Amino acid sequence: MIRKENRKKLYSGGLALGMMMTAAFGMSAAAEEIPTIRFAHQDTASSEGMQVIVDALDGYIASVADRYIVEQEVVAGDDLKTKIATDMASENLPDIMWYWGAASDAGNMIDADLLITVDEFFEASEKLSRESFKAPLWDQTTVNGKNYCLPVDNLESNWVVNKTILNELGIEMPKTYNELIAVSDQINEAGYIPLAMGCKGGNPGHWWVDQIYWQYEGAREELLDISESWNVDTENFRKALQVVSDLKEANCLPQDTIANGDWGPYWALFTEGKALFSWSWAGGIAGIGDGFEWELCDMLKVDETNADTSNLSEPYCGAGLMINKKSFEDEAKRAAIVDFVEWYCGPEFQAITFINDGVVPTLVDCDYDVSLVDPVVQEVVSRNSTREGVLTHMAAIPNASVWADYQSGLDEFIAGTMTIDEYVDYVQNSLESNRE
Amino acid sequence: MISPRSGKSARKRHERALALAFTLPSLVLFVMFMIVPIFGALYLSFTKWSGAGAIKYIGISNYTNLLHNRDFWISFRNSVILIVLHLGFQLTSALFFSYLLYRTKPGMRFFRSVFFLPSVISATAIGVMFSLLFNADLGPINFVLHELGLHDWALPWLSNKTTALLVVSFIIIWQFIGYHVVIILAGMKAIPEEIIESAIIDGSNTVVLFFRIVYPLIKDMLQVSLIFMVTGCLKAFDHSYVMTMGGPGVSSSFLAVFMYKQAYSRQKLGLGSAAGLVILLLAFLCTRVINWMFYHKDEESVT
Repeated sequence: MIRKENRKKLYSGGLALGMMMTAAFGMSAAAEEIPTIRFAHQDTASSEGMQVIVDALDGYIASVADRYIVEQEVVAGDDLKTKIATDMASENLPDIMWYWGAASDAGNMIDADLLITVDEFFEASEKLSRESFKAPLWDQTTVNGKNYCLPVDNLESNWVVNKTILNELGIEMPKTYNELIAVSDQINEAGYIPLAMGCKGGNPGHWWVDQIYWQYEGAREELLDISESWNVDTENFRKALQVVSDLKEANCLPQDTIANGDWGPYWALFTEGKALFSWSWAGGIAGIGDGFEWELCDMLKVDETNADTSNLSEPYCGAGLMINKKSFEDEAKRAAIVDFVEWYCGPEFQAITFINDGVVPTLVDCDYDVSLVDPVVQEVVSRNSTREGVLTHMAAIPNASVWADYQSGLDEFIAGTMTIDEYVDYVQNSLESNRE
Repeated sequence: MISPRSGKSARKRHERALALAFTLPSLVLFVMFMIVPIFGALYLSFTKWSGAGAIKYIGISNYTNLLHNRDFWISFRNSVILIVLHLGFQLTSALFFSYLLYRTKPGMRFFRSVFFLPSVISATAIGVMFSLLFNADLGPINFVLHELGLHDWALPWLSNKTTALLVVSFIIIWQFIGYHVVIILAGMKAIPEEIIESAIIDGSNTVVLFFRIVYPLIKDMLQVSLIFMVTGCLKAFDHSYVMTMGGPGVSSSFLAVFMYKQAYSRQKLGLGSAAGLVILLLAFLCTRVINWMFYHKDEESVT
């Protein structure tokens, strides 16, 4: 006979066991029915436009919550690379990642066979195909002849000139670097900087250096050949660096290119009305405001070349969505991944990002209300629609370590603490020591 | 009947069990998050691995690579300079200000908080703030120098190899002076008031009071401060990374920045782990040397 107090214990124990089993079975049943996918990206509500984008993303995730759960892992800026590296090393890679697709960033994930190719995704997708995307965009993320990155981060850029400074100083707008050097003293004496450009962690200096390099005949072929030849030490590259060095010597750049490096500080020199020229992405240009008179202009021409800068632009589409191979092979997750990626890369979300952040649609067919797009962004996109795009070393260098050295050395070179020979040797040695 | 002896041992057992129960959670966490990762890093330091794919055993190659790595030695030299600057400026300033606060009765708590304030601000915020102050083209420091006619003094602070290191070091020193002031001041406050009063009655002035009475009685706190200071220098990262990314090149990079860049930017986790272990070893050696110095001096004074 069970005593009264023991009976109570027995009942409560049984009840607890029952609850635990129900919860366990319930959870496993829910897990079977509703898969969870992890999505790493860097969309934060850092501006009004980004708030709209984040709201749209959250809204879609909420709308599919009855079918699958999306866990967002948001890390802004280059810190996302650190996060993904840590996830990768701990075998905890997210199912979908917004990431940089060139070999210099994603090379090790590709080499380790951690990602699916875009073609594998297209086989599973009913809404998207390779042809859905603008054909030239694939070039920037082609690694060993394959693509692993669905392009979504499509940016157009342009040069801008401060007309208020031109009018104040009564000078003609320089069209070439030598013309800029010729008026540099006058600009500096008036307290302005001829060209707002800096370099910290390689940004934005490396983009600008490639705009100069590209103007030399044969630079395109040299860049495309780097992954085969593992060579950056060319006459053209040295000539481009000489132009940078001459500009530095003539005080055409900010005094402190490290403090004025990276995306915010160098651009602030222009938006604060302190610099004659600068270069930026369409979204940045749209935010200049009306504190002074400014206009879009062509990139400056390198005098000794025959380049037609009215036909040149420097677009970027090196980032997008990448899919974890292991997750894609998981039948429970596959449909959810396909659905989410189709939406993220689809026309509806691309229109939202274009209107609110100036990210140009990568799809061939993407309808949007033109009146909602910032007129400056529209103008930049329209100007560049038929121009030749400059390819960068970032897309060409085949190894992360070499790319890090390229950027770090460029910081030194543009700061004036490294000579052309030292810089070229530094990068070339890095290429040779990392070649396997 | 229970003998008094067995009662005592039972109590002891009970106390031990209790102590173990209280210690166990933190011990488990310490082993999991400190000891195990150290052995993980030790293992990785003998391998070549980008974080993905197969891990390749390469023996001591990462360590020999460090020996021949120009960037490592520049970062090492910078860390040594940082330690020297800390000893020269941070320690002496902390001692000076803590003694000033100790001898200043009114407003001591207020000023202690003021000194401590910078050390609770995030290093990132401090780094961004000083980047703007030292910005040669937009910042107020060069503006003031130009206005004073000191044009030659208005340097590109963060783009010059020498000044970049000094600026970053100065900011780290400045930010944590208050932290050490609080530690040393706690040691001073623990000195019995009667000793100080007796010394003053005996005619000791402020300087004599400091060197003969206060200094010998706060040596334990100085030892703690010194260990924090030196190990802090060895793992200095945030300010350098935020302000200059260790640049130009590696000219303002410290060992921890070098380690991070190898492991993450260059995707060389083996080399990064080897650098991490070198930092750990240096921290251990420095701590032992500091402890030995204080212990050795105490022994000498006893004999």
